[in-house]
Amino acid sequence: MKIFALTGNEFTKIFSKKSTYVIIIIALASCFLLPFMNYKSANISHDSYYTQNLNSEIEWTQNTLNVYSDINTRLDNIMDYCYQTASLQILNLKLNAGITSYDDWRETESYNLINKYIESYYISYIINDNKEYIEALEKSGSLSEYVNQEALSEYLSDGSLTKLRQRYDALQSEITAISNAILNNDPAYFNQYYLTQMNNDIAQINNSIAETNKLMAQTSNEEEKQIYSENITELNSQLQLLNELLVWKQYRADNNISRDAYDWRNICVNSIESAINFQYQLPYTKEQFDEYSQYDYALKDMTYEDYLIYFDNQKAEQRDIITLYTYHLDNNIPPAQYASSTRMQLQSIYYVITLTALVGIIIAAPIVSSEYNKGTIRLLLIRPVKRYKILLSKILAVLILLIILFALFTVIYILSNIALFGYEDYSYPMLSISEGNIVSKSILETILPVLLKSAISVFFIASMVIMFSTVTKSTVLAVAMPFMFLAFSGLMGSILIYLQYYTIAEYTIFAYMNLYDIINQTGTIGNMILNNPSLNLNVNIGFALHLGYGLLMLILSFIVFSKRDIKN
Amino acid sequence: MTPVLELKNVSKTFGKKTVVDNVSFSVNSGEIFGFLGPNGAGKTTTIKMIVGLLSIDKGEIIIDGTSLKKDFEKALRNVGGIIENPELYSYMTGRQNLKIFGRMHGSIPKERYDEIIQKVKLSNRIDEKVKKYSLGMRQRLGVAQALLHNPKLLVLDEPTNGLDPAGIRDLRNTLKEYAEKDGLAVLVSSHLLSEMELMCDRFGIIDKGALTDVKTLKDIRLGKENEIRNYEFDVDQLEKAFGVFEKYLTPGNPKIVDGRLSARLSKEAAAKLNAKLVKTDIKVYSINQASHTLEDEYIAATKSEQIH
Repeated sequence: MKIFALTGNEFTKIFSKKSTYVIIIIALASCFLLPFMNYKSANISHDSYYTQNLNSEIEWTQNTLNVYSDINTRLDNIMDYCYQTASLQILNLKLNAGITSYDDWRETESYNLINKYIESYYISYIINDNKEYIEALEKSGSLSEYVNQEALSEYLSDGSLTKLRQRYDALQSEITAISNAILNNDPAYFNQYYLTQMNNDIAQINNSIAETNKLMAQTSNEEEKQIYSENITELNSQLQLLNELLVWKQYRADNNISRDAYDWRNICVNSIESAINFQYQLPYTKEQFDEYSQYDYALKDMTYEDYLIYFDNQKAEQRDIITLYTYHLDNNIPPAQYASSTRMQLQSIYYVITLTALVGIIIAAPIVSSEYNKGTIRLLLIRPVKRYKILLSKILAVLILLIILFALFTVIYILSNIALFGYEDYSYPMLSISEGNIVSKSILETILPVLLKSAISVFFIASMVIMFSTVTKSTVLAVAMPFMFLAFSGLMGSILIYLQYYTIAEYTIFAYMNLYDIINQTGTIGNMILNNPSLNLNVNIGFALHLGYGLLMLILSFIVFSKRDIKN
Repeated sequence: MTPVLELKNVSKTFGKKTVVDNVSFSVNSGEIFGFLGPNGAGKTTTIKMIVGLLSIDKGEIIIDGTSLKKDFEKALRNVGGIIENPELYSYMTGRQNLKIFGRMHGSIPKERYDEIIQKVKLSNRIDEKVKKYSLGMRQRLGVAQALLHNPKLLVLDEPTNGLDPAGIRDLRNTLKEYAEKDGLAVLVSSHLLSEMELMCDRFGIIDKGALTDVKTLKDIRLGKENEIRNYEFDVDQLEKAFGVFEKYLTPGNPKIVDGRLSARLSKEAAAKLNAKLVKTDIKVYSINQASHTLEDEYIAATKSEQIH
């Protein structure tokens, strides 16, 4: 009973200070404002940077081309001359198309034009019979690198220009069409373009198969037959891959999927395509593995058998992605992490944990030390109350306050998000794959357990604050040490992992500071987990460490507080 | 009379230094006990052990029949105290401060708060923040928190620090009143001897951690009947009076100090000499007997201090 009265006393003390209100109000305001700031920063335009860069690139390219106005210099550097000329075309295209961000899909597509330009220049020299240029190109040896093989070999064998001319015209019209599509911001053109290309590739492989079959039928040499047969198997596998990809190229064209980097449909299709590609990859052979594992950080500590298992797991993960994203597309449910607002919301909600810890540091730091420093301890400890009860009441007050604040911060953060983006994003279910089946949960069902589990770090930090406050009697240390821990433990964790002290990383608190990063595989530590199969950071161990170290620090505080003589 | 506070062979060491060495004394109900000693003698250390701020290395402290070591909470239930300056929570009001401490003693009725606030004359300022209080007001609030729960033992460490003369008088009267009316036992430590003399019934003098003497005020005030004392005569004709004294006393005894005639005499001798002076037409304005003071006792008990 007495402990309730004592805890009430501590609350009275905490809430008699103006600073407490200031801190809580600032924290509440930041919870409310954070979604707005996220929204603002996500939509902030980098126009000025991009346009500045573009203009200076144009200037630089023009300067380079000025150097090449001397014919001899130009011929000596014929490759670079062509490259810079093509660059200038493309830079001007970007400028005219009004591209203002590196995220713009047309940025990449513009750049893909460069080889077409260079090829067209090379061919034009040949067609126009510019002897000096042709000679220079031959000397540089880059003709065969850029110019269409078939057309070039025809020209080289009998000097015929027919195919080169055809190729040139085709290039010209392609460049014009692509440029127009970029100028008009027309993704449909590219959807169609890549679909056609895929169809062409498939036709080519079919041709190759037919030819190889023919050759196989003609030969009677068993060894050759064997080789042809292997070739055909290889080609068939490629054909199968391309046919699978063709389905998605077709899907893009049929559904007019944009190429916007932030459009969830585009992201889904992209992810599915790369997952399909992965399904056709073969694991390294033993020899390859031995070679690559020397350089590849991720493979370093693995045996070949481990690697095969790892590879299979990755393959299975990618297969799940295909299943999952196909479901998303079919049912028109954006994956939460790619939906425009929930994406930001998911990445930032864990901010309330750090915020609670920070508020905890500031409120809890003086809770014992100031009693010593101000001398009030001499009126506090002459009461008929055992000392452990006094410290316990202080700890309880801090923890209860932090639990209330944590709940308040979370609710306000979520409400602020809803106010900003509407409820729609929250109504989408979260899909995941468990044992091959698609599991659907509401967004809160998905976030809250992770959030609550990760909040154990607040307990750890609060215990550290109370320990420093009690043992050192210094409010400054009680603020500084936990604050530094909060700020740098992630870095410490990644350094430990980077130096491959995996066991230390797995059993100290540093890498576990943000448990949500481990659960969601986000952030620096999350990436390290993804890339280090031999690193085994277990969320439950992390939770236990937070709890265990926290309790140890509290026990130390109790011992010191109960035994210490009040000398001054 | 049963003692409210009893120290039995209490010792305390800090590191290798023995700060309190085998101290025993007791304070009875209704008694104001002065605890005297130079700085660093062990006064505050002893007091801090009594109120539970320091652990007791050896010996036993019994408060109202309960050993502090055995049942901390029960023993301290009957203790109120101010140790050094009463450092209160300056960011809270006086009333909030009292409530905080009151709650630590269990439930105290609301009337009791008003009563004690009135007693220490803080009624009109009690709802102001303590940081706006003068030192004297803080002392009074300190007294209020110490008496709030009606303790049987009040422990005050240097309570007159920072109080103005009126405040000191108020404190003295309050303590005397509680001691007489409610049988409150008070333990006061101080180095202000004059104050102690006015306030206390009994004194313990501590030096270098050891209790050297315990005396009552009576013991000190009244010497023995025929004790030879120093008498000072204020007269109109100093030379003539000196001649009279020389006639009856051994040479060297009578002296002229600061325009007064001074001699070491018994009670009877002083009266006879006075008669002689009057007979020889010398006007005697006053005769002062230099009484044996607490200061003398204090100096005598703490001889080490005389060297300085």
